[in-house]
Amino acid sequence: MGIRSGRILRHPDGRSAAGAGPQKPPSTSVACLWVLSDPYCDLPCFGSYTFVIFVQSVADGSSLQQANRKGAGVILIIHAQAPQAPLGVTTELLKLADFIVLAGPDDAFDDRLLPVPPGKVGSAFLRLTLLQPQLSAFEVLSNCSRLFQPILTENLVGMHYFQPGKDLLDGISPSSTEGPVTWTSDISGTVTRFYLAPAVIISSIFRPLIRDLCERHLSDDQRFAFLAGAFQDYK
Amino acid sequence: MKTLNDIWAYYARQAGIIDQRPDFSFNPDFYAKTYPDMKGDAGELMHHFIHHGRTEGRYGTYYTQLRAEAPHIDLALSDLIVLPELKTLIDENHPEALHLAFELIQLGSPTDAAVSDFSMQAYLAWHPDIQAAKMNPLMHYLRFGSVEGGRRTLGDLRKSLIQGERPYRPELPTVLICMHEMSLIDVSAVGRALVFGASHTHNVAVATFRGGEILDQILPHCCAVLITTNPLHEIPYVEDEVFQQIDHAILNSPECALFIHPLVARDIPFATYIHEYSEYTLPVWKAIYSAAFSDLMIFNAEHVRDNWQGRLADVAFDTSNDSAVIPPRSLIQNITTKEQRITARKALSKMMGRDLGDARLIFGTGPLHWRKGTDIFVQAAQICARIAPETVFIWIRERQNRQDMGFDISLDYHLRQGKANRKDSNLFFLPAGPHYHQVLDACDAMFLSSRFDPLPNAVLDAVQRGCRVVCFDGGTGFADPHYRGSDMITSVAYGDPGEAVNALLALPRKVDAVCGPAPAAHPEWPLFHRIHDALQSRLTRQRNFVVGETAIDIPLLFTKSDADRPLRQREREKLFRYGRRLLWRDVKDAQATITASDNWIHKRLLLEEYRNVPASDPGIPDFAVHIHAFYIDGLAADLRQHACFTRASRILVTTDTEEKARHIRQIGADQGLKIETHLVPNQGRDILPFLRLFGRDGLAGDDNIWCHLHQKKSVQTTSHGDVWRRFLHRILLGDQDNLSMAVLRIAQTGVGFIAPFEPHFVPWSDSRRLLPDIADHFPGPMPENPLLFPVGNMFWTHANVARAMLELFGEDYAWPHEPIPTDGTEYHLIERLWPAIAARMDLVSVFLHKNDEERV
Repeated sequence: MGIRSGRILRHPDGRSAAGAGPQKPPSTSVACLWVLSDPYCDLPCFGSYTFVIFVQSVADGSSLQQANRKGAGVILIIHAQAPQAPLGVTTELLKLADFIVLAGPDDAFDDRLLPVPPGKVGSAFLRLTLLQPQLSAFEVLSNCSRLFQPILTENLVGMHYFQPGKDLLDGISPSSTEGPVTWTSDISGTVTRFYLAPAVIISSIFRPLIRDLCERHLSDDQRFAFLAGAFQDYK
Repeated sequence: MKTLNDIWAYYARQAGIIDQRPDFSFNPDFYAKTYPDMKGDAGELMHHFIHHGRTEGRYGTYYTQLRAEAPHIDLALSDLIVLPELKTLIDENHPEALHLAFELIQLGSPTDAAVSDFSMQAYLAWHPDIQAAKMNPLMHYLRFGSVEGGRRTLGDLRKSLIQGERPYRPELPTVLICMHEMSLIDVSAVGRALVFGASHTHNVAVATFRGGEILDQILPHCCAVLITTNPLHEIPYVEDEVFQQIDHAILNSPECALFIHPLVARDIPFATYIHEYSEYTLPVWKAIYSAAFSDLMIFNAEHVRDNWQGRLADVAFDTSNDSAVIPPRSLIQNITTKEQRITARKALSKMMGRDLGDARLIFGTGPLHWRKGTDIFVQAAQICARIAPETVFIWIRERQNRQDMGFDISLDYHLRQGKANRKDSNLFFLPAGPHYHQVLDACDAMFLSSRFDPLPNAVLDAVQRGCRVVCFDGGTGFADPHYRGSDMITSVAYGDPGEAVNALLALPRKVDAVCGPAPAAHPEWPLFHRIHDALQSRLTRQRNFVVGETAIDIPLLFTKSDADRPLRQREREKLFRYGRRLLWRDVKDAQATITASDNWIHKRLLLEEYRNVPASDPGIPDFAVHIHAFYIDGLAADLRQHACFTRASRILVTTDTEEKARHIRQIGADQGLKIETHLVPNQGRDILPFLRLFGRDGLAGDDNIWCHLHQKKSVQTTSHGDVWRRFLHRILLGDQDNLSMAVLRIAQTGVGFIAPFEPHFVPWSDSRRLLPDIADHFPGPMPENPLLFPVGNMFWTHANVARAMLELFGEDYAWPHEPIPTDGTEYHLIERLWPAIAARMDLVSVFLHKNDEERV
């Protein structure tokens, strides 16, 4: 299964995306937070499911580094799709992000290595329990933008999302795109990771646009493409 | 001037029907539906109508048909229209103007509300009977509703929205402040302070159930005030922008609980400010829903929060994270000067006919009421009359009705016996109003005689005027440690007038202020901002979230209709986000909670899936059934619908009259069942008649396995009562061909009790207050909440378990008689204690879940 890079689409109603301007081909030269699920990797592994995160820096730096340079933080969403073995998570993740969101069904995470239960008031680990676990990346984003609004208002953060294990299982190779909205999807249009820059998240049109896109019959790929078009000038 | 057709074309085009209906005076849908002999497309139908139908006496629209049947509709229709050009045409008696008006409204949203004071959708939402009858809302209103009266329309809602003097400013955040009333009570004054405080930084929308004296004071500080008693269904139809843009809300009392529904529906975060004790927050659902759905509960005093602990525990509320204590205002320094004090005393002396120049003056205030302890105040005055005659007591009364049978009539007699309000008396009652500040300036002290009084403003006023205050420990928030640092407040033993008198007489006399009020060095941060900041802080610290529909989907705030499904989802998401409980999320959730508990009772709870057992199963043990039948309607059907009764070795029915007993025996005989009847007094609901079977001379005999059922109905649950009873019977008894697995399970070793799994999370509730009385009878502590018990009090158990329950109280216990409260009696406690009794005997209690059985 191959990768399809993010690209800007036209709005489903035929309008061009807000602020889209000339369409630029997506770049693959910018690094992003990357996630591997590799049982043979030498990097630290956590819990019952081998789970490694590292930052791959290429060209002008990772989005994490970009965020840090601007004084912004990172909110990292780990979306565990059921059914699968429970994921291990650890405080090590906090070196990479200010907030870790564990999104998935009740039993999706083995959080015994965490110092506090995820979801504890005021902690760095957010818990998003999905009672209907088959949510897409965009649906998770929509819920996060709605539910985390006070946190996102209070903290200037970029938002990273990924579905652990998805890549190797699907034979997908790493990829990234440039700009304030980047995403990766497989050939079916299923988005497996995305990044939104802080400037996007604090934008006043962010939530209404997410809500509007979520209500439309579009693939996630199309939704992110529209989002990228709308925010392409938000550096 | 626009013509009728111009107006029609504009709105018909907006509605997308202009091609179908180019002329308002002909409706092809109506024509085809009304005259089934008519076939063809819209054009053909119109052609028929113009060339044949009209002359045949057929109608072209709903209006013409209705108008012919009920000519009186024109008056009401005319009153509805607000579109100026149409209104003008109606006023000019244009022959077709009302016809057009009717057809425009019939287009529905948004045209109806644009041209008239009528919303088709709102009328149905506000009058469910019309919706249930599938009637056309406009036709109903014009023909019946407008004549009968009492049918609220959009016009009424518009009249209930009173514009404030502040314009809506889109650059500002918007807050909704909900007040249950606007009279001159303390709570309303706090609401007014919230509005004032918010107005500097926010667009302020205000909603209330009823207006009152402070409405006019609020209007200059807000964008609009909505008066509604049906906020869930009416707020969505409020067109004012400030109500569309609410960012967060403050409910200024749990009495505002009806506003919770629209706030949860729109996912608007809110804090509830609590000024009241839980005992008088009735009905209980107001307190429960406030605790379950508020993002933050803010109490005006620690004492009030302590008082709510039971209610909070009932919904598994996280007090440390989800509540705060914020007093409405601080104690302020004395501002009464010597001159003011002397002037005030002279005025009072003149009014009372007694020289008060050197007297020690003590005042109390509030309505005459047990809660306010007006009687204790009077007793204190009587004590002082003997031991300190120079002391004079003055009560500023808010209202008095000597014909009030509750309190005033007794107090009035007491006062006359005590010769109050006479020149030689030391006790005077003054009406509230202009004398209030004179009394405060004149008095040395205030006696807060209230039995329970959260944080009355009068105390703050008193301190501000240099009056020291004596109150009862445990009777008010002013006895909190927070106020102990002040030498202005003294608390004494609860309800003891003697101790209060000692404390009052020990107080120094008023110390006059050197000059009038000085500007505060650090002006107090307004109450609104303290609440707002606390709410925002709490929202930003939230880390747990839940998304999606729950497997258990029974209605709480909203109805069980499909249309309300998204609202129910939102309601559950909020409830479980904060880990609060009103119902279980699913069976797995209940199971996990029980497993996680280390309480000794919970260790002996089992959740199992229901299954049928064929009525012919040879393993079914001997068992007896007890039915308490205070009501006997439905008994025959129950007996007929369950094979269980034919397998029972014994059916024993208790009831309260011989006539019912005779009828019950006949019902049994008709179905080939032998029923024993036993007359019992109407006492102890269904459960005491059952327990007494196992006492001295009880009728239980040697039967060991018992199923306890009843026909009784709780007044509060009658609307759902039949469904609930069917739910319980189905799980406990089985159906016409099968028995419930309960009958096999109860016979197994180690099992002492079986009941249906209740999807609601039902807490100790008011039974919590009785727990200390029975705690010594159990080997371990009672849990914070029972988690599972036979809600509805129908179950299977063993005779020895029932006997143990009876022995917990003793056969000669002074059982309460009817009428009893809706909660908090021994009978309600027994319902919750069955698993504890079984666990004490080292027996497990099994709760059966049957997901396909409707509960509500």
